[in-house]
Amino acid sequence: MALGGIEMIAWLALGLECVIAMTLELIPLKRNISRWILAGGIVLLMILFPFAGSLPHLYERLIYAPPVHVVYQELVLATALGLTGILSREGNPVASTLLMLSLAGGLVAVSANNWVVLFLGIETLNIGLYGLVGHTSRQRAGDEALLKFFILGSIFTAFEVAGIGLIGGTQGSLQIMMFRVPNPAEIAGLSLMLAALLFKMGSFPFHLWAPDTYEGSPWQTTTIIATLPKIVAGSLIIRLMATGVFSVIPRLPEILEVVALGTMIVGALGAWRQPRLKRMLAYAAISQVGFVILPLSAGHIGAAGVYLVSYILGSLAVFSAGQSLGGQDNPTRLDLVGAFKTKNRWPAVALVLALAGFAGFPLTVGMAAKLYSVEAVMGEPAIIWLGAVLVTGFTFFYYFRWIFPFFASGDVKITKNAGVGAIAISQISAFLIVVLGIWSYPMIWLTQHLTL
Amino acid sequence: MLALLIIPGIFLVILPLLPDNWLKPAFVAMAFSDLLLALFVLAPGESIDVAWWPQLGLNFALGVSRYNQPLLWLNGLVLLSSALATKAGKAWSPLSKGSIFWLSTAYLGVSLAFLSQNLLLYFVGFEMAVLPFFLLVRKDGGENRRQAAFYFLGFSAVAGMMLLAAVLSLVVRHVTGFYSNHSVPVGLQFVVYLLLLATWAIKTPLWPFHLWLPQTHGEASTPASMYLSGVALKVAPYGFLLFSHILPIASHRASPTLAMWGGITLLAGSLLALGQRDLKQTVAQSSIASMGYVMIALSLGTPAGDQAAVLVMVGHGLASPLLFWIAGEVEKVQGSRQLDDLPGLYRKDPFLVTFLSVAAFAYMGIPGLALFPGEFGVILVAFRHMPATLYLIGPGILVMAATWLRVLARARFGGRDQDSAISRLSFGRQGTGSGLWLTVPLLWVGLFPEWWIHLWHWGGLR
Repeated sequence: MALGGIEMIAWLALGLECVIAMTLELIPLKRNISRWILAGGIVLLMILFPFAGSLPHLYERLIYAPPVHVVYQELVLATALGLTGILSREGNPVASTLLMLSLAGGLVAVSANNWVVLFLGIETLNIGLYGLVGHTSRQRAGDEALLKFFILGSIFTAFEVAGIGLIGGTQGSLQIMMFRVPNPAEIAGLSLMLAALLFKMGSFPFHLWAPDTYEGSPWQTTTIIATLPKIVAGSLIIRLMATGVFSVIPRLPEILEVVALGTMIVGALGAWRQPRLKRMLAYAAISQVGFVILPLSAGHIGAAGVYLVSYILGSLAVFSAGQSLGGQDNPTRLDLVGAFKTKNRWPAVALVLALAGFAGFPLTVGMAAKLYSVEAVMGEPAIIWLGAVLVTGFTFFYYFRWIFPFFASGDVKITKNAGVGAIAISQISAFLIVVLGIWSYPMIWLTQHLTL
Repeated sequence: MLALLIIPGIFLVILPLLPDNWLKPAFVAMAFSDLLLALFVLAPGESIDVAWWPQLGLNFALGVSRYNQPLLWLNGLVLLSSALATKAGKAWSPLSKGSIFWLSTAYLGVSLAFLSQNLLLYFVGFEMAVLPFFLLVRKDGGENRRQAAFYFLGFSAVAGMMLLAAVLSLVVRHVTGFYSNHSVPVGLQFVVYLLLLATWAIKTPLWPFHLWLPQTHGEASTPASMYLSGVALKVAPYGFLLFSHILPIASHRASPTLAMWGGITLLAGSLLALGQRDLKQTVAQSSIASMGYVMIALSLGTPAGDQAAVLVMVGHGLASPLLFWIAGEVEKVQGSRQLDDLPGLYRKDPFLVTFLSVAAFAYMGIPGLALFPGEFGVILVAFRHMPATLYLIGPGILVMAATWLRVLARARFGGRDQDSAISRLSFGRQGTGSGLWLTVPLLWVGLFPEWWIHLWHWGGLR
């Protein structure tokens, strides 16, 4: 390696930052300081990973992050950087530590080259998330959210352990690799791992935890649940599909098609006519995940990556804007009327742009992502692409239903304001939704670099 | 050509920052400058092709052709008259940032769809032109606007998604441009043609897929109705014209059926219009009849048919916004749009009735007004290629004439003597500009069609 001297430094920095985050809790600092330190640390990691993320040859069996292949790591880091902005002051410094731990877990998981390391990564991420949901729970709904999330999460942890056991037992090694000869135990093990990842994505038929958990948690926790585990699980599924690990599962394309269509339809039907913003967004997010999984059924990695990125940007924008507009509450459509006339007009603009992006309105990244996703499956049976296209049409109903109140005339009610961080994140992500929809180069670059 | 898109684009960006009393002047100035550009700067043959999302087959390919030039000019003109019809604080003609924003977005979408030489770019323009109307209808208008808006969105979403499915089926087989040399396999042509037919049937609209149109127009505010009927409805037939080039075999085979369907739509639209008691509904249903003419002409696939169809589109694009504006004004003067309440209108507002007469004459197909050359052209083409449709066109014309004669008879006569006290000269009222901007071209196109045809480089009517 040309840069042999500095390899591993990114990983050491990651560990060190976790320790620093934990230590900072002991020192009485101003509450915002820990957030800034966290953000600075993430920026540092983003700089380090492209050239100092690789590991000595021996370790590559465990973790694999050579310099040019760090797209997934950078995506996870960028998501976490966005999330630092929305952490509430009251939750700090504990929330910062938990986010840092989740990030570390996510980074390990997306770089894992070994099933046990992957498991460790996902579990670290999970524990951080359980902590975040529990830490912010102040009422029964919060406890319910935590309990549902925790129990279902534990069940899927058990799935993972069983899956890894089956894979390791038949393969004789825990290395993540491609199978040549199908074996029932391996197929069962891989199916269990796939189910666990789909659960993290919140896709049908494992989506049941999502709406209640989203609704019961405060906005900042919802934002984290809606983005960080999904980009980790999404990147992992994309990576494992790209390397053909799951290809031994028989009828995999059909399974993924059913999962994708089911996810879209369940999400869309659930989001339709929801009276409260957060629950609508929870179901809308489920529907969006279907479009990430759809192109994978045709083996189209780039399209899934583009949709994943557009989904994460959209989620960051809607949830941070929702936080600014709703504060501790969960607004109804009537609460949003006249938001353009208040001081909260910029989060309102971000929410409108992000919803338009989710709907696939022209000149947003959502439209390009939808086109990528549907074009990828045009070779499949007509029911698949026609179904996806019709679901897209149906989603207009609820997205435009929620865009409308901002333009309606009526009494102004919105006065909440969540703080500068959430507003800034909503603005940046909404800006990116529009810019990436018009400037195509970054997404095209992404599709070409995911498969390397 | 790019300026046509850049000017409204810049307007959309600066709109949120404008102070309220600048809204209307800025909107009118934007529409006027685009109208001037469309009238004087465009030249057929201009084209731009920039790679945008090459992986998707979505390129920024724009071009001016003989057929979209008149429509672009119409687009600017109708936007200008809609802009002039806006008024602050009125539920039926709202002047708010939200309405202007979405109307301008729709305008940008329509321009994009008209200019596009790329299949997916046409779809992008189509969606941009259609979706804002949900918000425009939902926002301002009559009491049942919520239902009307969802009707509109429901029909449009199905139409848009069928278009997307059709476009993507072509794009994955590397047919990305309207004038590309890839030929489409015959089997695929029929599949795509059927998908597209669903889009055109809903968005043109063709009977019996027209259900959303009277609902939407009945409840929408005046500027939204004007723009929707004037230009946004023309995006679908223009798309039909474009897609016929790449699906020649399917178009040829479907031609007789579609021509008859157009004829049925014409007759059904006329009869539906005759059955209305509400002025705005009458206009809306008459639009369906005019779209029947367009469909007959387009289905035949001859250059003369295409030209006649574009002429009808232009004529209808001038007459129907004028009538929607009149319907809005009538409601202000009479307090009702019911036909039974029309008697006595002439005594109260003679100028308005003069506008009404011109527009109604245009709908009746009187020579010298803009719909006549197009409709005459359609009849000539139909006579040559598909005489059977004349059995539908003939009664259609009669019924349409009866519809508008009935309206005129009520508007021009009747009323009581005390109505005759004209308190102010109605010609001088705000908003008359909107009517004039449509009436003058209505006469101009009708009296001198050859002059315009020369301007559009059609080389005379064939």
